[in-house]
Amino acid sequence: MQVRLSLAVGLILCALAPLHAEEARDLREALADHALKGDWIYDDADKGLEEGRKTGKPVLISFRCVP
Amino acid sequence: MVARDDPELKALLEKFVTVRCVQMGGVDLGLFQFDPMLSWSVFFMNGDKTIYGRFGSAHTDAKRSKKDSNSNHTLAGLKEAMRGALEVHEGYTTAPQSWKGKLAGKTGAPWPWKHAEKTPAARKYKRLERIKHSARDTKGCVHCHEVQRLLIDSCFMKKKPVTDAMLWMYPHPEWIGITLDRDQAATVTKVEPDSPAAQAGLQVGDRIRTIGDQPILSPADVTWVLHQTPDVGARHILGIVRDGEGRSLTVRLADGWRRQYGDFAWRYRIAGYAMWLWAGATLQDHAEGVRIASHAPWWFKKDNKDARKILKPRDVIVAVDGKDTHDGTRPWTRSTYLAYLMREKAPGSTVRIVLIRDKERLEHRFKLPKPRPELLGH
Repeated sequence: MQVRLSLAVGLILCALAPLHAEEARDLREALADHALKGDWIYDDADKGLEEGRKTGKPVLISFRCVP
Repeated sequence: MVARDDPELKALLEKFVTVRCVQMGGVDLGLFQFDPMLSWSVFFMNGDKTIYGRFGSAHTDAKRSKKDSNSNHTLAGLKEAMRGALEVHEGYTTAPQSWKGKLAGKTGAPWPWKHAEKTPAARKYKRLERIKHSARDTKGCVHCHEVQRLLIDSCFMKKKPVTDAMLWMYPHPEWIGITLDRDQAATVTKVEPDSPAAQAGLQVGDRIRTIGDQPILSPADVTWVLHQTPDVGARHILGIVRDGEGRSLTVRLADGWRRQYGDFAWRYRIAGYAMWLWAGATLQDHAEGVRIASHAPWWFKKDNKDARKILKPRDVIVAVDGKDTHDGTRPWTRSTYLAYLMREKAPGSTVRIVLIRDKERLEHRFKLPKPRPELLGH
């Protein structure tokens, strides 16, 4: 029973994931940040800081809502 | 559009890991402290969470003058700050131990609540229950400008002190008497006579490189230092460059300098409190007290009906709860009035006022209503 429930939850999450990814992609295209630079990290400061640690680059974190 | 076509900006951006946060939900408020009036703010950091500097300054009176709160930002200023951040990064990565102390003050003390959506006010108003982490959803997101209100309201609810620093927050360099060039980091373009800056000897053309130990990359860094400055016994040593030579100047601020030089009533997200406390009246500073400039629109009638019946445009309030609102040298400002009622009075309590109307001195009292969450929310 537990395995079935987990499987069902997993399937639902998998079905929703592309929708979220699509929305995020649409937003990023609308923001057009890529015209300035290709590889922005969105809404995840921790990931940006981790990337800074890995690459040795400084991190620029911009707080700007959707205009 | 100008920014997108700027090759220098693109080249500078390539030297950074770039992150864009479109809302404040999930953001560590203790680490990322900036003026919430801004709808655009930038942090320059090391991956170990050390902050090198900030960029982005709110424009005083943004709402009333119909200027965008970001109108202090320029592309030249951003690029200057980015170049400064790269210099600091090089210094920090080369000799971290000698830089750690200099940069420690760039990070503020932790907030009582780490995330905006976890504050008691956010929970109470329930609006934020609709937060979706979908990047597209902007209706349910936590806006930058809501953060100040959520913090203050949460302090009210939990009976934590609302300090002067929380109200007179993110002081502009103008408060201490200097105007800074938006394009050239922190270069002085104007010095007010008799101001703390003038008394310290600052001159037009001086470039502020450091305050205390902190490197200054932009006017936002000056504002950050002032934001962290105590109300009593404040003194800063500025490292400046004048005519190519380095110098050191000391700026001393009078005790209670925020109240003396600053104003927070222009912050339109504070307007909800004014609606509640003063029946939505627009307040103006006046030589004898605070003047009622105009009433709120009719749709605020249900807020503070008592006060609305009493207060008329052009009234000047000269005493509150038996306190003369002129200390002999200067009157209370509109911010001082708001702060008094916000900090000293509980919802439902009675306020006694003395006002001057057509040269007649009148005494009144009114009861403060409970604030409506929708006024205090977005």
